[in-house]
Amino acid sequence: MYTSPYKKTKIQLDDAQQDMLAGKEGEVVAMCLKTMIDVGETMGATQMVPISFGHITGTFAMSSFHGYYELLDRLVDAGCKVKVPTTCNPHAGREFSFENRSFFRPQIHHEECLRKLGVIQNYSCVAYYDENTPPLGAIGGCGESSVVVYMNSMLGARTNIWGVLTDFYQSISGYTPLFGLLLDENRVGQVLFDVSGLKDPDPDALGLYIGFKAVDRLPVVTHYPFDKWQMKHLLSAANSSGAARLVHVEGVTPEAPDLKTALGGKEPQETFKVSQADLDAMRAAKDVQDKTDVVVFGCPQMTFHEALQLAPAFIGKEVKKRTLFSMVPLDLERFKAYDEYRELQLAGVEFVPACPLTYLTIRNDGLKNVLTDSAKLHYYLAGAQFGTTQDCLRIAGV
Amino acid sequence: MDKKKTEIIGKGGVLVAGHIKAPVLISDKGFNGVAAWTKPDNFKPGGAAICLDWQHPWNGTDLAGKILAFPTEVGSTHAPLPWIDLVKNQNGPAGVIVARPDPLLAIGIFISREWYGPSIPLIEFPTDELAKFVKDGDTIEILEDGTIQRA
Repeated sequence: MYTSPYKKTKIQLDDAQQDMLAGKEGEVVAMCLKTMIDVGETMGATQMVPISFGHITGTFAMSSFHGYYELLDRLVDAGCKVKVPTTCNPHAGREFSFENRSFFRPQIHHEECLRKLGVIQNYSCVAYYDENTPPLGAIGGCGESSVVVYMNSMLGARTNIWGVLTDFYQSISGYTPLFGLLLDENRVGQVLFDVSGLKDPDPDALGLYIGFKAVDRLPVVTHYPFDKWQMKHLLSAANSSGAARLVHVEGVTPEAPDLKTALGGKEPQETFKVSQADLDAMRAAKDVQDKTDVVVFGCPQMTFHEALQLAPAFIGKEVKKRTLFSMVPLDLERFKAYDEYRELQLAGVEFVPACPLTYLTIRNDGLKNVLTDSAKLHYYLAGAQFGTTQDCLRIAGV
Repeated sequence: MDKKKTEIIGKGGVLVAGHIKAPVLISDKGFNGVAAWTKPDNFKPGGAAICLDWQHPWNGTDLAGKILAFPTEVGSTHAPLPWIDLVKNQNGPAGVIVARPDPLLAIGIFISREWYGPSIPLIEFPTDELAKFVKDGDTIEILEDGTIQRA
């Protein structure tokens, strides 16, 4: 008979943590810390450590859910404030449609709560490019899977993956339990993805493939000179189809100067030789793509840099299908100063400074069939087909 | 008492204690609570716990009242959003058996228990080991100490 060796740990608190738990900063702050201690003891932690950054995942106020929002009101009513710089995820896109104005009815109140709690009003899921750039080895407590995997992989900062409310509990208490990806021994690669046979690999498709195959084992990818924009796509995709909270790419990510280091000097548990056919199999067939109602770019959100990169394809042309750019709000404001912005408007492109997964969840039949080059959006949004960027441009008619 | 009916399958690690008897569903695929439970049909009456993750074998299955067994939670940090409501309102899974616990899964159950009260058992136990003894739809019992037995 199988008997689990699992045992909960006991977290030893220092004096300041004991005072907080005893209610020195109020009952609700004590409850925030208590919840994190309980989760930490479940996950094997023996101490709570200070954090220096945070990121909030739950910025969408969906009227069908209640528990999260009621508890957030309790934090606000108790006067809680975040103790460390804490950025937040995108707007929900309440203004996008009639349906959204109803479904995201509580959004205005929700964003007011975020402001009152002291959260930086960036509303971006790519905060790691500008507003939230912790140094190598810094410890934080972040929500948003694509932020977590980017912080860990590309910045070498350390955060476990945290869901709604626990991101707040950590930023408000200032502590996180020490376990998982905060520890050196858990940052060693376990499975190897050999991409040496690929020519110009599509990072979205590769990420999706990695997530499916690695599941919750830590992936290492052989060298390919992905830039930081491509890594955003690869990492967010891998953390959609799998639990890839950290991915090493040889010679690209800071903890993977070579394969030996990335794998901790051990042989990989499994090696996947990735072929172009593996990646092509992830994408929708052409006849499916032809049924597209709307083409969506920007998940994770499109930056100023990416909008400029994509712009030449649209200049002097007019889209034949509705085409959306989901952009970081501040990047969209920057972009408006450029000629390319006006050209894209003339081409018929629409700019939405919000999360496409959220503003397209409830949509009318005229927008039923989505085509995107984002593997993450494809994975999460029902009816979103996956194509290459070139597929998306072709279907957009430019 | 029929000995076969109370056959002990094993003893799991107790992340959240509880005593429950319910049909089990076993998957060897990671479970993504956001992909499963945030689709428009989940917001219709009676639809909250229906798995609508088109990439998961449970797609289309109502997970309410079931003990779910899977290797690990995967995906988005919004996972606790549906978990909190499903546990708080007691209209979701009856319990969870997971091979490799992840904070995303534990959070929803912990928050419901500590901030609202209602809870469900969360047990660490290998999915493949469980599958040697029971199949989808079989009723199993989880005891407070983590013992899993065929009911």
